[in-house]
Amino acid sequence: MSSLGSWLSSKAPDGPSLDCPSRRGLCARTPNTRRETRGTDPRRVRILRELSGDLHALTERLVADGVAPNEARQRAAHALVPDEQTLRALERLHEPLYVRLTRRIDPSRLRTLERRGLVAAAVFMVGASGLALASANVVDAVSRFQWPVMMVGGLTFAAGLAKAFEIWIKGDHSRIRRGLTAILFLSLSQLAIVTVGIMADLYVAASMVESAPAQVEAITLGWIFSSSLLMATGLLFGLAGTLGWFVIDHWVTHIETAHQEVLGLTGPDFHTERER
Amino acid sequence: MSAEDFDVQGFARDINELLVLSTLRKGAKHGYQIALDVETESNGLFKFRHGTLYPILHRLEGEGLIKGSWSKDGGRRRKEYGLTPTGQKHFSGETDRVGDVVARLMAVLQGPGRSLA
Repeated sequence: MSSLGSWLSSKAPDGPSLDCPSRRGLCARTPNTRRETRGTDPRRVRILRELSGDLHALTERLVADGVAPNEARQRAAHALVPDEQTLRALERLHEPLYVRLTRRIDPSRLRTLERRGLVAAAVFMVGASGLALASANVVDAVSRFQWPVMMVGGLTFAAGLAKAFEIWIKGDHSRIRRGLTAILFLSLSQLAIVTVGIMADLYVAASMVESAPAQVEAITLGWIFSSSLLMATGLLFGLAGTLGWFVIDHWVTHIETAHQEVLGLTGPDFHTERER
Repeated sequence: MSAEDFDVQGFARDINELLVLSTLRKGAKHGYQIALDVETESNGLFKFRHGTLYPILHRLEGEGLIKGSWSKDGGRRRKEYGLTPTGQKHFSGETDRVGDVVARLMAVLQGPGRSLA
């Protein structure tokens, strides 16, 4: 079952394909470029669920026919669990559009291009927010904590974008959980910066009032304004990041559950209804 | 069919695809049922091993020759495949083509001047 295990946790390597060597006869049909659009499951989860359903049913059927459970499991796995070459062929059939379009580009060059695109998107995001602040003529009035919040917001956006790109566009599940905690950490960091910032600004404002009591109104209004802006920005980025983390984490868990379902059916812990 | 039309390497796969389409003519089936039926109906001559069935099913589905639909069976989600009208039409055409290839092959194997009948 090692081939299945490695497939479950890795991206499809390049390998021999069962695709048509020529485009004639049966092979002269529409090329397999149509993407599955039905259902909400990731493609791989749909394949795994189909496999696990059939494995389970075939094992049960063999057991019902009088085959010993262990023998039934082995026979079902032998018939239905794909070997390395078949898995690669299956992967190729479901290759994401992005992978098909970029297949001719050198992998290291493609990685560089992807990283540049990601950095550009993050810079654009932070730049657009900064420009919005500048155009509103509030740069002088904002809290000193405003900029760290925006920087961390940009990083959160970049981390979330990178993960979403990896899972949904590239279909690469090789390190599916990598970077997920970073998204949550960065999102929560923003909320922490906002809290610390508001408190620190409050102390600064209080000390300013103490030294200049006549300006209490202006100082208070300034603090309220800068704190509101800080809180709005921090909450927006922080909550968006946390929501992004939640969605991606949920998706990843969904994929992992399907993996475990199939591995469980082929592993030693699987029992048929009759055995239970 | 001209000589360029025939692809020897793809012929085995074509046969596998036809076997799947053939068994689905009798009604929609789950993947494992297709594998069992092909094996039973061919008296064990044709067997799908190591999941080779799935790439065939997914390719045929992608090409619109069969249609997969999910159902729940005892709390477990199962995918069932059925033949589409396009698949049915395709099956007839390809059966004729394979018959022609086999006839020609037999003619070669049996040598010149010998009748197939």
